[in-house]
Order: sequence, then structure tokens, then C-alpha cells
Amino acid sequence: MKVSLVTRTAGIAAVAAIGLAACGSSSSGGTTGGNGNGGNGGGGSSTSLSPQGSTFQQTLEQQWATKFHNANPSDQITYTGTGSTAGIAAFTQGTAPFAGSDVTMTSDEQTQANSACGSTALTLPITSGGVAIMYNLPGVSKPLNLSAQTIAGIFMGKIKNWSDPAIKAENAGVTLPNTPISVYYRADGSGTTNVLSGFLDAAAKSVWTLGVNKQFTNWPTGSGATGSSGVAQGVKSTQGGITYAEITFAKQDNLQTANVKGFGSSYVPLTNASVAQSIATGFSVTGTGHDLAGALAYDKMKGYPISTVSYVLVCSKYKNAGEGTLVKNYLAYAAGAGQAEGPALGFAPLPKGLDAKVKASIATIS
Amino acid sequence: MSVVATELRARGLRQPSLPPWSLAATTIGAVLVSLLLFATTGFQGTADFLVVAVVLTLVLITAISWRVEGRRRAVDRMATNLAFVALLLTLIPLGFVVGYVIKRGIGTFGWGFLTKDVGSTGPLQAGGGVGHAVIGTIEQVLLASVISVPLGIMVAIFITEYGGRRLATAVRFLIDVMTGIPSIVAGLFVLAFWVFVLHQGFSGIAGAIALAILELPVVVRTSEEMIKLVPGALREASYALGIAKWRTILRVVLPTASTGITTGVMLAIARVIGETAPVLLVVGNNNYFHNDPFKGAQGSIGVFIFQNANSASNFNVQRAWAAALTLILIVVVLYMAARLLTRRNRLAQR
Amino acid sequence: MSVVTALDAASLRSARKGGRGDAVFRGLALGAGLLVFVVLGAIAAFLVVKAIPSLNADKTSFWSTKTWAPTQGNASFGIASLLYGTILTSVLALVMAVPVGIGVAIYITQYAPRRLATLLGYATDLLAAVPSVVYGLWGFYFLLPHLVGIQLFLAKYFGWIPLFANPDNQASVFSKSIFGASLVLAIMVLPIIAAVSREVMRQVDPAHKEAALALGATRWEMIRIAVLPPSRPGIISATMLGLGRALGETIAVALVIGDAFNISPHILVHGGNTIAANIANSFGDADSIGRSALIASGLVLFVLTLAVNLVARYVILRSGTEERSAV
Repeated sequence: MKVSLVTRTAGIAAVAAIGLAACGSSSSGGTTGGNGNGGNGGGGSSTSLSPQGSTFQQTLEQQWATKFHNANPSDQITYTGTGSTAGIAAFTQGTAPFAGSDVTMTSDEQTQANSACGSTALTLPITSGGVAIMYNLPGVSKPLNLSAQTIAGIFMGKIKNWSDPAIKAENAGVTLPNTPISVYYRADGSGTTNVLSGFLDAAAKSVWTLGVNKQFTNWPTGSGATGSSGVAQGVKSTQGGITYAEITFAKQDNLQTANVKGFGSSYVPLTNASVAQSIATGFSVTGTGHDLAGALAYDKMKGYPISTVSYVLVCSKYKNAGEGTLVKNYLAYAAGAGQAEGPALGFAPLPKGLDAKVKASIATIS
Repeated sequence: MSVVATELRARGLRQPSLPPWSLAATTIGAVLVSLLLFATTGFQGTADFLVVAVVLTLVLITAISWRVEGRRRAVDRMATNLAFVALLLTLIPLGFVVGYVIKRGIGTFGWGFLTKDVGSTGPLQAGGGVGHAVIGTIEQVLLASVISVPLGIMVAIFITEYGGRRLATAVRFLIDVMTGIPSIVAGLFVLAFWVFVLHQGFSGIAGAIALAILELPVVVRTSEEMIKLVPGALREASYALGIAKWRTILRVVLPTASTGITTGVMLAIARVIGETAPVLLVVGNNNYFHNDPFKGAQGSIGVFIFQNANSASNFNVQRAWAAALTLILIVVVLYMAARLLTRRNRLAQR
Repeated sequence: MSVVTALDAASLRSARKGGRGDAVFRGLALGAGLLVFVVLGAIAAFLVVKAIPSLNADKTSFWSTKTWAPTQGNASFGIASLLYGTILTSVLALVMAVPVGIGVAIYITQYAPRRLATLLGYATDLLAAVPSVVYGLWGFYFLLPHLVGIQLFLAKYFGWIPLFANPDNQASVFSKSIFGASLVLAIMVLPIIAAVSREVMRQVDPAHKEAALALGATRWEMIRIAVLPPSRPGIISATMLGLGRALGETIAVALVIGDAFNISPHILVHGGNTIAANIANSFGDADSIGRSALIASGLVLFVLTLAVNLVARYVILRSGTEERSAV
């Protein structure tokens, strides 16, 4: 009677208790819990890391973490794509051991990060990639040539039809259909929006009037969608659709990608080599010492013009030495052998020279 | 139609009524008319056709019944048919949701998917699983229920049995306000107090606290309704036997209301089991098995789905759908367990 | 089953000690009630404290501004479009879900044979048990593409109603919309309303039903006279529960709504946003002012739920269906 009283009065709670007992027996507690670089205690050697941040690098980080784990089975790294800003916030609050970010830290954030680390926080380029202009135009098999002016015109709603003279002029010999252009843009905050708007703001300022941001709420035309897969799906389902996203989505959904002309004189297709060339010529380090934060100069890029680098934010010296060693080993792999994993996922390896500097900086982490 | 009516009257039935096959006949007639309509006018589409046919059937049978059986019977018929249509409108989305998730997820789903973690499987590979996230989710949700269910039932008891008029109304009002707290606010709240003020770090229990905040109002509200419905005669009989109030509540009131309370608890669990944002904020994410809910970042199914559903890797997307299927199955299993437990209780089977 | 057999002799013997047990139990219940005050008070205080910095930084009117740009240094954001979308989606969802939910509850409790009723009860509960993230994914990948046909139909034949108008006359604009979000919300709150209404209707005293039938009432008349009136407070409660979920629903809406900061009566066309969905969509890339602004919007949602519940209480009181006293 006493037992049935319990089940009666708290049906689910009883299920809960039983379930917990079952789970409890399988608990191993093999990994250390504290993942923070500050305040979370839990000394000993850290074998588990939970970095987070940029969704741009997410698949590459996942691939690196898997390869690294398979080579070092006791090390468990879980990268979570929460967005660059969220990654920076978590890093500066000390809840992420390192963060992925498409943007560099502001001076305020740098100060907070330094205090959370108890040492100087470093910004290091870790990979690079291009933002593809992808479209759905059946019957046009050759990649279209689009200049920065034309792309800006399309996304600003000034060019409304694929047979517009501006597009025709850049694509002599291509028969363009009389199809209205349906623009799809990222409605959520996104690194790709930041890169595209940065490029258009630099290369077609007279047409592109929105400025540079991760998210715009005042797109003059088109439909918003969430995530790169959202905009890619939109384009795939709409004849005459156009959007911008990582090249992997174009491959995945069989969408065509445009050759783009920025400040140069030629139309360049998006390839690993053309992105690497752009980074090699357009990226300059502005950080001092081991800090490799940098700036992109679109007018100096010789390759595919809508290219960017993505960073990791790390402490130069971790409060927990074990954690520092693990971060160092993991990033040393990522900046070294790990670079070869990029192309299959649509990332371009860091250009020669820059990768050596990054490796040298990583070697100083402790 | 009046022929039918006359014939029925002739057979000596006091009240004329439609034969049992009338609904089927009307349905066929309505479908034929709709077909004609769709063939000759601008209407098109399968869904539109179904809507037109159903509406036409309802109108026809009601009109015929009105003529033959009179107004009262016609209204009764219409009510019956409308209730049935309501049932269809509920079951159709259920079929589509479950069917679609099964379709997208079944290819990747399997025993291995339930027992492995995803830590050794990259975005370019098939395989791997969500075992780590299943354990994380179950631990977090059950801990949340351990907090919110007894607390919620006690609050409901307070409102219905002890609270006095004014205080009970105030508590009930606050509980209603709690239903509107967006999940991420609960997450931020726990992040601020548990993680930053108390320095507890990421853990499953922090997530459980956030989820408990979200579960509580649903548990209270449903329990309260069910407790209020327990017939007063039952309590009075118990009091008359000299049984103390608290024993009456525990042994007479709660058992009688337990089926309804179980439904409420299931609604509460369903609200939180797929939560992503608050869990990510305070539990973090882990691609590896981490079974200790009291220390360290843990995986969970909601976060797993969200990390992978929009991924550039098709393998990740497939795993996300299989994880969604897993989530539904977990809820079904929990639901069955709860039903079996409350079913034992004969008093509830009135 | 009589009460007497449910109570064993032991409990009868212990009845004399009831005084102390009662006090303890009463204390526990009171403690639980007070804990609700503490938790909610803490959450409210937390929201207010965290919202203040952004409200101070906001350079435009918080209540009338439609855009959402809470960036450091040049913050201009407002709740207008979010509040509009939140209320509109929730109301539309309830308009669709409440009649259907009550209909299902009536069918299950009053029409279906006992065994089928149990089965159907399980089925509707299962619909309630599907997690919102699954609804969101399903809505995004399955429902939205299949909805385009219905949207075109409505726009073509009912476009003269502003609600269904399609001013730009484009097919591609029918993607993420208020309509899609409302429909997903309706499907999500429907089982909540159905499940609670069902439980309430099941508890109706059979004697009343039999009395009505014995007097010659048709089944519908019996339902109207004997079932619906005593179930009414429970149904209103179920509706409020559904409304609460609809107002606060985050993930599912975030996936299917337009994420656009506009106020438009055209629910079929791409657009719309809700407070909760905006928090989910914008949180990842919000800086400190951005987070504070999102919390300020959460505070508004909090107050909105408060207001809605006040109105609901008033309606219940006015309609004369005073809360039945439990004892």
C-alpha cells in the first residue's frame, strides 16, 4: 500500500526516479567537467573542450575535432556553432576555452578577454573561404559573369530581370531568359552577409547603400530565409532565384555559381586557389607580436574577390595548464595537417607565409 | 427525398429518420459534385478538392436531415459530423508530422544510432549516433520533472485546497504569467544566477532548472483543473470517516485526478524535451558521452538537431532528422510508461 | 469503487494524528505557493535590470519603432512590429485551434466508443508530445512548400479581404509568413486544448448526462446542456494554456516566420516576426546592447502575458461562471 501510494501521487516523478537510477548506473564521469578558462575550477588534466562561435567554420571544426579525436582518443573537443558574437561573448566571459569568429574583437572585448584569460588573448586566422553567388537559371549552362556593380544592383532591387542590359553587357554570347530575379537573403545574422556587404560596400559603394553588417532588416527586395541551407533551398525551388552562401551549398543543391569581378579586370571563379590568392594579396596583419588579427583590403585582392578569413580567439596562457596544452595541440593540428581537410568542405587553406606565422603563434600557447 | 420520408412514415416509425447509408450516399454525391466543379471551373489542387468535398457533404447531409427529420435532429447530425471533422483535422497533421519525420529519419536511424556518439564521425562520413545526446536529454528532462512535478502538484494543491481566496488567485495568476516566459529567458535567468553568480559551471542540472521553470506552469495549471473536478462527495465521504485533510488529498483526491495530471505532465515534458536555446546556454554541447548531469557540458537532442539541421554536410542533416525521430520515440516511450503507471490506479477509471 | 475500500484500516487509525500531518502538509503547500512568488519575482527583477541599459541607449521610441537595430553606439530599435506579430500569430492560431480542439474533445468523450476513445486520446496526446523543434523542422521543410498552393488559392479567390491580399502579386513571396507561423502554432496548441478539454469533459457527472437524455434531448442537446457548461472554466483554462504556449513559442516559430520587421495586414505574404522568435534568431549575433534589447522585448512579452491573463480572468468573472469551489 505504501509503495502504490507513491506511484499514485506522483506518477511521473516515479518514472523519473526509475529512469534516473538506470542512467545513474551507467555514469562513468571519465572526462573533467569544467570547460571554462576561468572560474570553473575542476583542476587536473583537461581532456574535454567546448569551444563555440562562428557558424562559418563549423563543419571544418567538426571535421578537425573528429580527426583529432581519432588520433588522440582521450581528447574530446565539441565545437558548437552559436554565431561569432555569441562565441566572443562566451570567450570573454570565460565559458568557452576558445572561440571561432569571423570578425576581430573590439578593444573593449579584447580587455574583457584578457582579464578572463589572465593573459593576453590572441586572434589567429585559422581558415579562409569565399562567399559564392549562386543562382537558378535553367538553360544557361556557362557560369555567368557578374561585376560588383551588377551584384549590388541585383541585391538592391535595381536590376529586376535576368535579361537586364547590365547583365547582358557582361555576358556576351549568352542567351539570357526573360525571367524575373528572385533575391533570397539571410534573415538571421550571418558571417556571409558580413562578407558580402563588406565586399559590395568597398567595390560598389554607389549602388550598395546598406553599409556593412551581419544582418540587415531593410533589404529593399527579395525573401529572407534562415541559414545558408534556407537561402539555398529557396533558390533551388525558384527559377530566377539568386543568393549568396558558402560554396558547399551550391555543390549540395546543384546550383550554378557566378564568376565575380571586383576591383580587378577579370571575372574569377570561386576555387580554393583563387580564394587563397585573394587572402595572400588582400589580407594584412594588424595585430602586434603573436596576435595576428588583420584587415582585408578588397582592392588589393588578386583572386576571387568575395573572400574572407575566419579566426580563432585563444588565450596566450591558460590558467589550467592541461587545457592550454590541449588547445595548443588541437590548433597546431588544425593549422598544420588539418588545412588539407578544408577543400572537401569548401574552405581554402591559409596561404603560405600566413600559415607559418599562425603556427609560430600557436606554438607559444601554454 | 420526401419519397423516402413518406415511406419511413408508412412503416410506422413515429419519428422519421434517415437510413444508415444516407451519410455514405451523401458523401458520394458530394464528391461527384466537387469533381464536376473542379472539372468545369477554375478550382484546382488535391487539398482544395478535399476541402470542397467535405464542406459540401456536411451541408448536404444537414439540409436533407432538416427536411426529413426536422431541425433538432439536423442540428444533432451536424454537431456529430463537425466533431468528426475536428478529429480528422487533428489526426491529419499528426500523420503528416510523424510520417515526414520517419521518412527523413528512418534511413539513418537504428540501434547503432541510438548507442553511439558522434565524436568519431565527421561531417564527411555517414554513421555515428546520438546516444550521448539521448542520455543527456533524458537526464536533464527527468531531473527537471523531479523538480517541477512534485512542486507543481503542491502548488496546485495550495491553490485548490489551502490557499484562501486571495492568495490562491494571486499564485494562479503568477503561474499563468509563467506560461508566457520564452524559453531563452529562462535560460538567461539560470545562466545569470546559477552559472555566473553561484559559479556552478555548465552542467545538466543547470539545464534541468531552466526546463523546470518552463514545465512548472503546465503542471500546475493542468493539475489544478483536474483536482478541482474531483467530486466533492468523495472528499466529504473521506472527511466523514475522520480522515485527515492531507491524507484525503494524498489518497482520495490525487489518485482520482491522476490520469489528468499525467496528461498534464506529458504536456509539460513535451514542451521542454526538444528545447535548444536555454539548454545550449547553460548545459553547453558535447559530441561525446558525458553521463554525469551534475558537472560539465552535456549533449542533448534538441541542440544536436539544431547544430546539424542546417549544416552544409548532408550527413549532418540526415543525422539531425534521425535525431528528431529519436526524440519523438523517447516521448512516446515516456508517455506509455506514465500511462501504464496511472492505469494501475482503478479509482481513476471512472 | 467506494471510498471506504480505498482507505485501509491503517489510515483510519492514524486519523487522530491528522492535526500534525495537516500542519506539515499545509506548510509544504504554502511553501510551494510562495516559491512561485520568489521565482517569478526573481525573473521579473532579472528582466528589468538587464533591459535597462538598452532602453537607455535606444535613440528612438521603444513602443512605436518597427525596426530592430540595437547596435552599440547607435541603437535604434522598437517593439511595435514584434508585438504586432506576436499577438496576430497567437490570435490566428487560437481561432483555428480552439473550435477544432473542443470538437475533438467532444468527439472523444461523447461519441467515440470507449476503446476507440482511449486510442484517440493517445493519438491526440502524441500530437501534444511532439517537441516544438520537430514542428519547426517539419513546418520549414514540409508544410511551407505545401502551403504555397493554399496561399495562392486564398489570394486568388479571397484577395479582396485585406488579410489575404497579395499586393505585389508575386508567387515567390509566399514563403515564410504570418499565415505559416499561425498554422504551425495552431497545430501545436490544438492538442493542448484538446487534451485538457477532454479530461475536463470526461469528469462531467454521468447522472446529469443521463438525465438530459432521459428527458428526450438529442445527443447534441445533451452536450450543450449537461457537458459544456460545467466544462467551460476548464476549456477557458485550456485555451489560456494554449495561448501561453503560442505567445512564448520560440523555436518552431523562429523557423517558419519571415523574420521581417514590418506591420502588414497581409498574412499570406512573406514577413512577420514575434518576440520569442526574434530572441532566438538574433541572440547568437547580438552584442551586449543587443542582448539587453532582446531581454527588454522578453520583458514586454512577460507583461503581455500578464495583461492577457488579467483580461481572461475578467471574462471568466463577467460570464458568470465563477470558479467552482473545489470542496
